[in-house]
Amino acid sequence: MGFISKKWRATVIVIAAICGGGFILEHFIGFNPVSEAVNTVATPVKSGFSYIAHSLETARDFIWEMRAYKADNERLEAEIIKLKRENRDASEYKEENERLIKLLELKESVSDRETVAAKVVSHSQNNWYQQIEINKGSLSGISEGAAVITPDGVVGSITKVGANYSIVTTILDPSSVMGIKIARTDGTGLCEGDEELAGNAQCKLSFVDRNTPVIVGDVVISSGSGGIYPAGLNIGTVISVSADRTGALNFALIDPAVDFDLLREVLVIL
Amino acid sequence: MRVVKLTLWIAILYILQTVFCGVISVNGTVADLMLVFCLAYAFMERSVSSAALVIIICSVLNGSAVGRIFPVVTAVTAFGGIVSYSFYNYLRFIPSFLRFLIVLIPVSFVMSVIETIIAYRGIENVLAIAIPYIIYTAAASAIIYPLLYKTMFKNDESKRFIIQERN
Repeated sequence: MGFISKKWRATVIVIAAICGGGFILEHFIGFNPVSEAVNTVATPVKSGFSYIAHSLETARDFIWEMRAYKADNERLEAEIIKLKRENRDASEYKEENERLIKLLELKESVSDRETVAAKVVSHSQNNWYQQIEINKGSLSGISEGAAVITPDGVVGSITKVGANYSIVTTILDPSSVMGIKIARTDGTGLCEGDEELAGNAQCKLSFVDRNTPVIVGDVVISSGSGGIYPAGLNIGTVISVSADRTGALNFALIDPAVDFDLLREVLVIL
Repeated sequence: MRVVKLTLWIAILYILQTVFCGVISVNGTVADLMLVFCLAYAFMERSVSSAALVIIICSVLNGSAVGRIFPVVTAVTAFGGIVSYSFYNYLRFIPSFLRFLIVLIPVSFVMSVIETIIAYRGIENVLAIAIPYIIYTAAASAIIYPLLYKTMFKNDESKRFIIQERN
């Protein structure tokens, strides 16, 4: 064992003396001369470095705090996104609730006829909402020719029925014809879809009774003739009138009361 | 030159450990740099006089840094240094740094246990204090050991090799 040499023995004795002496002096007189001497010499040197140490510590704390702030910021941003999403959902639920309340009121207003509420699944892609698909079909009792309405007014009629879906041809479609009445005058006529007008979501008013004048702003309602649509349902408003030289009406344009872009729920009258 | 280097090493580590402890602490744990240096130097130094002197200086400085438990810290540091010096000749097939860790880890464990028992007057939190202390001290040794070797012992090894070649 090389370390039990004379030099090592001396080293051990020195250390034992330092430790033992330090312990005894510390214990009995509360003063350790070796430790005191080292600290007396080292303290001025240490105090010189303490300013740098404090600066570094401050810088380190600042960096740590920045990381904490960053984490807080990320957490708050995530919370904002979550709250925005919740707020958006709440707004959607509110709108849906309002629509459904209106639909319920409409359902109650046509209590003499059986009705089925349905959701709009899709709009036809290429022909400006001339056809829409709803999520109820023959299983719900829907059959071809049934009228489709919303609280705003008439949408159209069922032209194709599947088990769990139906196709609604709107009043904008060129094949659509329905009997109408001018609410102001009780004059009758026909509301027809038109290929060109469908692009602007408008339809045509024709065959109006010659004795009853039509003016812009007249409200057009269903006449009930034909048996598909109940009488008195809102169809739209006259937005322009075209007359010949004698003043006889050629045709008028109707702006439908239903906004086909925003259709979400409809009521099918069975 | 060697004395200057040695003085610089001891001064820098002492200042780092005593003044910059707040900066180098990780979750309140500070590596025992003087202990690492003392053991590493004793491990690499083959001159008994030089190793003994460094062990005494480092032990006293380390003990002074902690104050109240001066005798204990001084004794453990010195004991660790002496063991480290002697351990150099054992298990030579293991790389030298790993051999050094074999000495450092138990010594730092003993140091942390004794410090905890004396300072906190209990052994409940010994492992919670000892484990981070040992890991951090071992991590510090991974920096100090190769640097110390490069700055103070690499040339000696080369000279020794040349002398052996000449003989």
